[in-house]
Amino acid sequence: MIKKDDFAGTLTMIRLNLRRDKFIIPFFIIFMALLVAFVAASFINLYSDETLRIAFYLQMKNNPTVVSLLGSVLDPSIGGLTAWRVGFPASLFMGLISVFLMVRHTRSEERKGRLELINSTKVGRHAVLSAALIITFGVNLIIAVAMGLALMTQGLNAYSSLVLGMSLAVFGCLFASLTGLAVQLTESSGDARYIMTGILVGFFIVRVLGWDDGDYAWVSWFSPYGWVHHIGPFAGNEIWIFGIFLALTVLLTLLAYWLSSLRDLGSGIITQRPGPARALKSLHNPLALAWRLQRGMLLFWIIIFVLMGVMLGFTAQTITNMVNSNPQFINLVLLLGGKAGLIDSYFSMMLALLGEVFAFYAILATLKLQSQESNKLSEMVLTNSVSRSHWAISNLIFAILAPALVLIVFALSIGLSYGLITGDLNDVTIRILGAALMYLPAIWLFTGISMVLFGLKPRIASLSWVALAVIIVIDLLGEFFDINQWILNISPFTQVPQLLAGDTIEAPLILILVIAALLIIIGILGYQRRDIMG
Amino acid sequence: MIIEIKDLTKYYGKHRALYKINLKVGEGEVYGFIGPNGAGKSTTLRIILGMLRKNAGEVKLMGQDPWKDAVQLHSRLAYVPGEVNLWPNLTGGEVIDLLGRLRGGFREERLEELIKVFKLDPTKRCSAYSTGNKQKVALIAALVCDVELYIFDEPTLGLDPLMEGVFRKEVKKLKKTGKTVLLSSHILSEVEALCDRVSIIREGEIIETGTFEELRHLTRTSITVDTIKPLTGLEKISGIHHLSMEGTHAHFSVDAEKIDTVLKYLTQFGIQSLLSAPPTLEELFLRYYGEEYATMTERSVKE
Repeated sequence: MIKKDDFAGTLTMIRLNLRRDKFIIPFFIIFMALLVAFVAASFINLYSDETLRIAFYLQMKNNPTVVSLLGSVLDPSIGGLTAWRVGFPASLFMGLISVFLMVRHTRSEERKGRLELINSTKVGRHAVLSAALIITFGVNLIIAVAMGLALMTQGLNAYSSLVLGMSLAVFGCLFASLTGLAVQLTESSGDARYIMTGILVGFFIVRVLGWDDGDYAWVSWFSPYGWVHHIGPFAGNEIWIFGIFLALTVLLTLLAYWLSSLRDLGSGIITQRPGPARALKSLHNPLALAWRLQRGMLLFWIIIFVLMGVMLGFTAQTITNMVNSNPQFINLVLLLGGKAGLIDSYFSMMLALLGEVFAFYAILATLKLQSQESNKLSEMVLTNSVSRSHWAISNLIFAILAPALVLIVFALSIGLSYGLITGDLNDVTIRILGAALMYLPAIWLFTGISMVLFGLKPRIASLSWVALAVIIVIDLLGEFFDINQWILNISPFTQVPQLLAGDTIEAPLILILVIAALLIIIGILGYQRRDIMG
Repeated sequence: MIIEIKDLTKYYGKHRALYKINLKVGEGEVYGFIGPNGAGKSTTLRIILGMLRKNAGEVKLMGQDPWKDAVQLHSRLAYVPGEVNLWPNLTGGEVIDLLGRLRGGFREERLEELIKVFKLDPTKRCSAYSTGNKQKVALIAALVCDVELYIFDEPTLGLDPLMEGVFRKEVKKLKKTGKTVLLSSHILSEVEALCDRVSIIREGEIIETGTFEELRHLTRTSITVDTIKPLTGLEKISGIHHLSMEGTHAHFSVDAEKIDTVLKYLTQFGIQSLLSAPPTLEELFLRYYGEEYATMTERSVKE
């Protein structure tokens, strides 16, 4: 079935891809290594005193909110704390890196027709998939070693450091092979990314449903996030779990090759059915076109956040049960402001964690304008009787309203699922909704930032992502260090009042709203005045 | 005048894309715009369409300013870009309907006719179309509209010869009904077959404008001759180029203004057969771009 010739040219493809990614791959490696080193250094900085560290350990271990999200802390050592803290976010990053590299080197290539060119030369039909897999596996392993070395520089145990790095790398490799499979199924690279993001989120939901102190802890064995946690670097090093990852990765890779040999170039296993020969009457203006282009993404986000909301509402309920059965805990909770106080602080924390994700959506939706311009699609619209402001606003409506809609749906599904499960349908839904809406100005600020960059200098519009990354780093720093308030204040998310924690709406929030509006307007004005890129 | 351009200059940063371009296209004319890739054809068209801002000069489109009055003007013209890209998840039929509606509507019968002659399957998603089929979608979306001016940027790139023929027929139809067409191309036979007048652009400057007849005067006729007596002395006559001579047979090209002298000289040898070919646009083009072509081929050999 598989011939040696099918792999001819794999090395050439690897070289080609590495040259294309000569900046982004080193960036991934350095970023991941610095991330774990940074977390370890922070713990050394904050908790080198053992009593303090154990106090922190106990505090984290007994806080169901934290346990549900990050898993329980398995060991009070610096290494144990580090492994616990980075486990979930670093797995997610590794998964995203793998998905990015795999889609970029397989489906996107094919979509752009470059692959046809490559396939017609001396490159076997499996060379592209092989090259993508080898590079992605390689990057994951290098990251594992880099993380291991980075942790050793902090004076941590060498073996456990490597186990931590490897536990994240096998997670990445698993997702690489899964993506290798997904790209065989779909015809568009966008669809492949959606499927993979869905799976990454889906496994996260499974992991939280099976949170370590809950009634269904065994469910965590159905999620790779759970396996990474159960490996327990610096706390037992259960390396036999690597075997699960390895077996699944091999299986999925073989499956990907098998499907790849079944399908024609350019098509997916799931072929596209013919569409309508005529457009609906409603598809007659730029707004209708923008809706058509953005509705898939909107639907995807709504589904994901309804699921997340329901899951959080459900977990909140189990937390309440736990609090009720634990007298020691009731005391703690009373200190925090009663039972409602605990639930409120739980939801408050969830919103704070996810606020930046909505900013991500805002940038994604705004930059649709940019991708359409560089793909010469805007030109197709603008050479008809459509003004630039009309076109820009038609798209911006989605960059402004869609994140708001997803946020509202999210808040409602948290509130309703919590309310329905506990039979306690009081004002909790409304309070969560109110608190969630406070995030909108900060989210819209990113619509503004990407619009102003797009309107004035479209070539650097992707710097919007850098802006978001900087804000995320600032927010992370704020979690670990006692850094200067004025640095924290740069982040619009610092200014969001935590209504559930008793904050009130104040001037900075209004100011952010005004700045966001101004940036959007300047962006539109700039767009009307500049050249359309060709 | 439908298009009137005077001393148009455009810079991309420091790079000078266009320098003092002059172009006049009258009503009902089919106008060809020729030049190699990167010469400035698309830049000029995109300024006419109000996509790009000019740096200097004057541009008038149907009496109005293409930058300021873009929205009004665009309802009176249809445009097919050089490299057609379409929304991957819309079908071809949907794109045609959408673009036609954005332009202000069209007649159903015309749409059916065009889909038939171009043999397009409108139910496919644009992501599944080949380059040629994408081109067809864009061409149909433009041709289906009843407007005053049609602008085509390299319209047959990616079309097979059969479809190229269909396109030519459609342009001839437009011409008959008095529409104005501006067509940029580097496929010379196409321009030759369709256009009344042409402008040749090179490195951002227009180097020649006129009808084909006018342009031919600037170039050489190629002659193949067989004589009774052996030919001698041809190499001494000025105006003869690329001479190859062997006994009673000779092949050469000659400057337009020297044809009379040369023919008179040839008759003394007793002409048996004489083949004279008018210069094709190809040759005309090669004359302007000869050097560039030479260096281009050299480069590709090295690679």
